[in-house]
Amino acid sequence: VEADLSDTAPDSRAAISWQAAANADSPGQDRTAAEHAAAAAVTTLYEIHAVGLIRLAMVMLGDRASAEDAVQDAFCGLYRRYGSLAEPERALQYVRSSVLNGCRSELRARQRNIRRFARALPAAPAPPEYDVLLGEEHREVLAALRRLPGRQREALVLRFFLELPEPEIARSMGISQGTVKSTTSRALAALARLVGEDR
Amino acid sequence: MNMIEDRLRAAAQAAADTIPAGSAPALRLPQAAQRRAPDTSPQRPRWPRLVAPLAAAAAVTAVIATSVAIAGGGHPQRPASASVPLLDQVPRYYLALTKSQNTGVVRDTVTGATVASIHAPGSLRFYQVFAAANDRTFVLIAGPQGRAGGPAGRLSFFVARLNPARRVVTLSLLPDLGPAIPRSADMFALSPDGARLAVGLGVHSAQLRIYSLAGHVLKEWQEDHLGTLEYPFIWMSWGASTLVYGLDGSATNPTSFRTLNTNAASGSLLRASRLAVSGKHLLDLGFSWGSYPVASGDGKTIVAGLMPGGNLPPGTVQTTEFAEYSAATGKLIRYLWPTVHDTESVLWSNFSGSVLVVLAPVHRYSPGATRLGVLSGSRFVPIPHVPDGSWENLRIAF
Repeated sequence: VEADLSDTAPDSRAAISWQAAANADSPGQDRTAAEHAAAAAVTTLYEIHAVGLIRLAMVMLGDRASAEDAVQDAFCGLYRRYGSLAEPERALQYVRSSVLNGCRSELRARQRNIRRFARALPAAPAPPEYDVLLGEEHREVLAALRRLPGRQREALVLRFFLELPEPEIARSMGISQGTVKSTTSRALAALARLVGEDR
Repeated sequence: MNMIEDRLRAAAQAAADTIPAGSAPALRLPQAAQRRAPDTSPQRPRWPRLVAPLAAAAAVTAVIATSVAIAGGGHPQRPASASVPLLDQVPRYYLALTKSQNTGVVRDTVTGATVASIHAPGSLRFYQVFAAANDRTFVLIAGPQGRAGGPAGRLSFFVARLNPARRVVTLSLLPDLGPAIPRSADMFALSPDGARLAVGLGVHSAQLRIYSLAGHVLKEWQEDHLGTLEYPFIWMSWGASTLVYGLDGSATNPTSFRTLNTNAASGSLLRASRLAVSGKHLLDLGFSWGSYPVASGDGKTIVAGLMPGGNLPPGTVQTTEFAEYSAATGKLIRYLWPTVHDTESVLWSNFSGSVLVVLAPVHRYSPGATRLGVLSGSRFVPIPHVPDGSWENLRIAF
């Protein structure tokens, strides 16, 4: 995991770009300049954090194309909402939340498709590409992780992959710390049941 | 180190390592014209300016309510009174699990004194506790200790009855309930009369059963195409027949809350319930559900915690705000309780909602710490001598 993903402080380059963009976006300034500054700021943030966020989405979704799409969409959303983002230091947290939201939507879409086509296509869907690259011991855990409800999966990935502290997980998921504790506890127990570790 | 945690870390890292450093594709931003102007919607709440004065007044009169340990049960609570100490206006006794989870202690809310203790039989550990409305009947869920921190193997259910005069708690195993409830169940709620247990099931579907404490399935509802159940259920105390549940949401369709008539016939969960509060409006507000919901004793309102997204004004402390909705129309009635005590969970409420037992983080003074106390308006009185390790809302019951 890239260390920058767990940092709450902004990267200095990104902070400088964000400040420049914020100044350019103030009322009365030329709109084109503001747009340009916003694009530069978002691009800088992307260059620093893209790989780490794609890795996060990869763990959540299991295939690289969907992971890259989720991250692209998140940064495009950041760009569109740039003018209302008051705190540059919150940009990474905002994008991370957007990536998680995108993963959640993708997983629900997949679930709907599985239900819709289950009778017509009884064969199991193709395994995620990392299944081909990983050992059996990892595949079992990741398969179990994918069977958890979305919120539980998110809590585990943020806690045990990104190693985020509880307050940061709460902010990323948009839930309280108490809910993080309960959700993580339930998710770990469910994961253990699914991989047969509680027997 | 826990084995399942280690396995999860290793597997996630192995999956992440399939993405080499520097391999991210170029960012493709939309055309400038497609950017949206800053959100100046009048619907967006201006928390610091609007809520502080509003909530100060609203918290006094708001009709709020209870979570699993709902009060009332046909016995209206006393109104909030400035002349009565806050600690005297909440249930006299509560049950909290200790950190080791092999013991539950019943404490006096006012004095903090331990009234009685119960110990999990054998090698079992207590995992969740619920209270009926009479402040002296509790149901505990126990199981063999699993490696992941949760129960391993079959769940056991106990009822604990307090005799405060003799300072004794009688712990009885509910022998028929353990085998009746599937191991996969992890959402429970005890009815205010202490006679029924609502149980949530289904990894990829929404399934809800009501059990009698004798182990009989009284009712069962299911939907395969609604998503999964999310958030613990809450019983509305009056009549004890209405249950609130949340359905799994998504980024474009956040969790909604529905009320289930538990007198309805078994079958379709959708047909037996109706939409109470939709989560779609949260997208416009830039918020998400931030905590478990609570429901009023009269069934008229639902209160849910809201948390802002990543788009906060400078200097704003991340807090859980509470909003009150009409259970009949789903309309937002008012915002409650601003940032004074960053309330995390509401465990109990009096009938009028003017006195609440809450879990409140006290991060300003001690990072990560949480305090259990009674909240009324802007007054917060800590409950003394709460056992360590019982800071999750499933481990304390009022």
